[in-house]
Amino acid sequence: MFRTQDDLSRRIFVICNFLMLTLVSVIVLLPLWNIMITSVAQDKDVLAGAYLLVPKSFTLKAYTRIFNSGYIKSFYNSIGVGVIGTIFSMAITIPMAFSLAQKNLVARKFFMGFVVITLMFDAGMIPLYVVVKNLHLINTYASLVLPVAMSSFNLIVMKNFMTSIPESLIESARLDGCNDARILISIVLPVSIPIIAAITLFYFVNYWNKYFEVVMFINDNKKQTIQILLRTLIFEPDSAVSGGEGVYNNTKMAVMMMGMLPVMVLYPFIQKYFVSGLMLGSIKG
Amino acid sequence: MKSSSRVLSIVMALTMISATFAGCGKSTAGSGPAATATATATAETKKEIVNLTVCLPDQQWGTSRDSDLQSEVVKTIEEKTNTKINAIIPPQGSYKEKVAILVSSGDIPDVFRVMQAMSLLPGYAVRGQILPLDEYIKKSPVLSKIDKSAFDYINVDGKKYYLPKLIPLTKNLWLRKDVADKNGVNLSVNPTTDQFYTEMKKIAGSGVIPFSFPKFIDNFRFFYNAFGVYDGIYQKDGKFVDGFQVPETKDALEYITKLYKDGIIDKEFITTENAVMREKLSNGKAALDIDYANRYIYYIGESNKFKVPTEFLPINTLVGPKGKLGNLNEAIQDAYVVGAKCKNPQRAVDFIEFLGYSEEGIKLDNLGIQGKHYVVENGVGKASEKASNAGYIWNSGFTILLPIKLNNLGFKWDEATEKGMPQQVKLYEASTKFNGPSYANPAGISDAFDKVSPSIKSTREEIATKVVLGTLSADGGIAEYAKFWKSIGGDDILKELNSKMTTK
Repeated sequence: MFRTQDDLSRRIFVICNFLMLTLVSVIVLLPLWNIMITSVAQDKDVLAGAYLLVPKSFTLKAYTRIFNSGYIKSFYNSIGVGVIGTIFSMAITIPMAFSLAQKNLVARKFFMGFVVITLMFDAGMIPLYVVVKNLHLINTYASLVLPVAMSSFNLIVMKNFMTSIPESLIESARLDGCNDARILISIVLPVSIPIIAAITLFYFVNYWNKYFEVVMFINDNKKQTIQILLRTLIFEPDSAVSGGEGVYNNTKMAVMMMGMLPVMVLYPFIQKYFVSGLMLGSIKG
Repeated sequence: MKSSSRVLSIVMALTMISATFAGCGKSTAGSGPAATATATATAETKKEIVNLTVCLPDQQWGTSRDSDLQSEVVKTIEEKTNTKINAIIPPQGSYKEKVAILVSSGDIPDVFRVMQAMSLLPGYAVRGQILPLDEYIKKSPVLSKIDKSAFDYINVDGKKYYLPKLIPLTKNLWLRKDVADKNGVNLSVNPTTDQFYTEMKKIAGSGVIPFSFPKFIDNFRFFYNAFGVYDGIYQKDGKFVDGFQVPETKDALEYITKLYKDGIIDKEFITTENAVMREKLSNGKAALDIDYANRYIYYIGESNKFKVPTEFLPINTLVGPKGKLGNLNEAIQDAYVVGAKCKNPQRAVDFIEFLGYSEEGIKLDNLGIQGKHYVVENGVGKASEKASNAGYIWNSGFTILLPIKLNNLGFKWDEATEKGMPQQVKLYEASTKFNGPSYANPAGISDAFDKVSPSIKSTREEIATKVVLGTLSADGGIAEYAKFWKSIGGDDILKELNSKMTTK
C-alpha cells in the first residue's frame, strides 16, 4: 500500500498535522463566530447568557442601538486616533530607521543605545503623566499619540530590515545623483513594503487598543475611545446602553464587532506582506 | 572603540540617574499633617465666579453617559454655585485609578469623590493631600446638622476630612424566590452557617449557580462576621489588635472553602465583576448574590427586563457556631473631599453642599435635568430617549441612602416601583438591625503602620484566596500570614500604635 516506510510516516504526519491545525482553527474561530451571530440575534435568543453556535435569528437592532447612542462618538474617536497616530508614527519611524540603518551615520551606536535604553527602562505611570501634563497635553488627542508615537521595538525591526537592503542599490542611486531623501523615497520605500505593512498594522492595533492612556490623559468623555465603551458594557452593563431594557449579550457583541472591524478590514490587504515582513525584519542584517 | 564604549556607558549611566529623578516631583501638599485651611467666605465672595476642578465618575453627572447631557448638568451646576467647573469625568470602572494618578502626580482636583473611603481616605489625609473641613462644616447650617456618628468611622487626628456622599452602606445576600421554591430552599433572614450550607447545597448541580460571588475578597467579611473574625487592624477594648489573628479565622476560612469546594460559591468567582454577578442573579443564572441592602427594587426591575421575574428575599446575616453575626458593613463607602491645593476651599465646600446636601443638587446628580434626562407624563417620570441611549440609570434605590430627605421629586415612579418602594424601605431598615463591624484604617498614628498597611491588606486577601481555592490549607494559610506578620514586625507595629494612642 505504501511504497516505503517514509511514505507511511509522511502520511501520518500530514494527517496529524491537519487534525491539529483544524483543532486550533476551531478554537480560534469559534468565539469569533459566536460573537458574530450573537451580535445579530434578537434579544429573546440571547437571554440568560445563552451561548449561540447556530444562528437563531437576524436583526440589526443591536447595531442600531449603538449608532443611536451617544457612544458612536467613541468609535469615531478611535478611528481618528488610530489613523492619525499611525500616519504620524510611520512618518517618524521610517526616516529614523533608515538613518540608523546607514553604517556611515555619525554616532550611530550612541543613537542606537539611546533607543535600546527605552526598551529596558520605563519610568512608570506617574512620571509619564507629569511629563504629559507639563507639555499641556492633558485632555487632548495629542496625549494619546505623541508620548507613544515611536515604538523602539518597531524601530529596531524596521532598521534591521533596511540594513538588509543591498548597499549596491543605494550606492548606484547615489552615483546617479540622488540625495538621502530621494534614496529613501524612491529606492528604500518601494522595497520595504512588507515591513512597512507589518509595522503599520502593529501601530494601528496599538492605537486602537488604547485604554489606560485614555483613562489617564483624557478628562472629557467626548474624547473617549471605543475601548472605554467596551469595558463599560462588559463590566457595568446595568448602567450602560439600557434605554429601559436590559443590556443583553447581542449589544455587547455588536460593540465587540465594531471594535474588531477596522483591524478585520485592514488585515486582508496586508496579509501577504505581514508574515514575510515580520520575519525579514527580525533577522539581524 | 574603547573610548566610545566608555562615553556610551557614561551617557547611559547619566540617563538612568536622571530618569530616576524624573517622576519624583515634589508634592506641595507635603508629607506631614494636612495644613489647616483658612476660609473667608462671605456673601460678597459667593457672588464672585471661581474656578473649580471637579473629578467625579461619569455615572454621577446626571447618571447618563451622554456627553451633551453631562455638559448640561455641568452648566446648571455652574449657574447654581457661581463657579466655572473644569470637569474631569473618568469612567466609573477606572475612577479609582484616575484619582490615584491625579493625586500621586500632584495634580489634585479641588473637589473629588473618594471611593472605598474607609481604606483610602485616611491615607490621603495623612499625606496632606486633602484638607480638613471642620471649620466649614461648623459654619454651614446644613452640614453642621450631619449626624456626628457619620464622622466617627474615619478619624484622622480628630479632624473631619470628608463629607459622606451616602449614609453608611451595608450588604446582605439576595435570593431568587423562584429558584429557592423550585429547589425546596427555605432560609430565614438570619440562618445559621449550617442551615445556610445545607439549604444552598440543594441548588448545587441543578444548572443554576447557587451563590454568585464577586472577585472582591473584602466581601468575605460577610462570613468572617459569623465567626467573630475581623479582617483588619482595629481597636478592641481600647487597644489595637489584628482581628485576623484569632483562632476563629481557621474556622471561617474552612467554612468558605467548604462552600466553594462543594459548588455553592461560583467556581468562577475570582474573575467575576460586580456587574456580572448582578446580571447572573437578574437573568436567573444564579440563585444568590451579595449586594447592597437597597437593591431590592433594582433586582425586581432587572429580572423583569430579562423576562424572568421573581421576588427577591434578603438574607441579612449568617449566625455562626458561637452566635456571632453581622452583615457586611461598608460604612462610609463614598465621600467628598477637598484637595489640598484648592485655592478656595470655602467655595469647594459650597459646591459639595449643593451637590450632595441640597434637594436640587441631589436631583441633578441622580436624575439629571427634567426635560432632558427625564420627562414627566401624567405625573409619572420616565427616562428620555437621549438619556436612555447612553447608560442612564433610572432607579429609585438612591433615595434610601441619601444623607438628607427628599421632599418632592416632582413626579411619581412607575407603578411597579411605587408598589415596591415601601417593601424596599422596610427591607433596608430591617437590615440595619444586623450591622456588622467596620473600622477605618488607623492611618496617621504610626509611620511604620502607614508604610505596611496596604501590604497587610493585600497579603491577607491573597492568603484567603489561596485557602478558598485550595492552594493552601487553612492551617497553612494562617502559618503563612503569621510568617508575613513577623517579617514586617507586626507586633512592634501594634505596640507603636498603642503607645502613640496612649500619649495622644
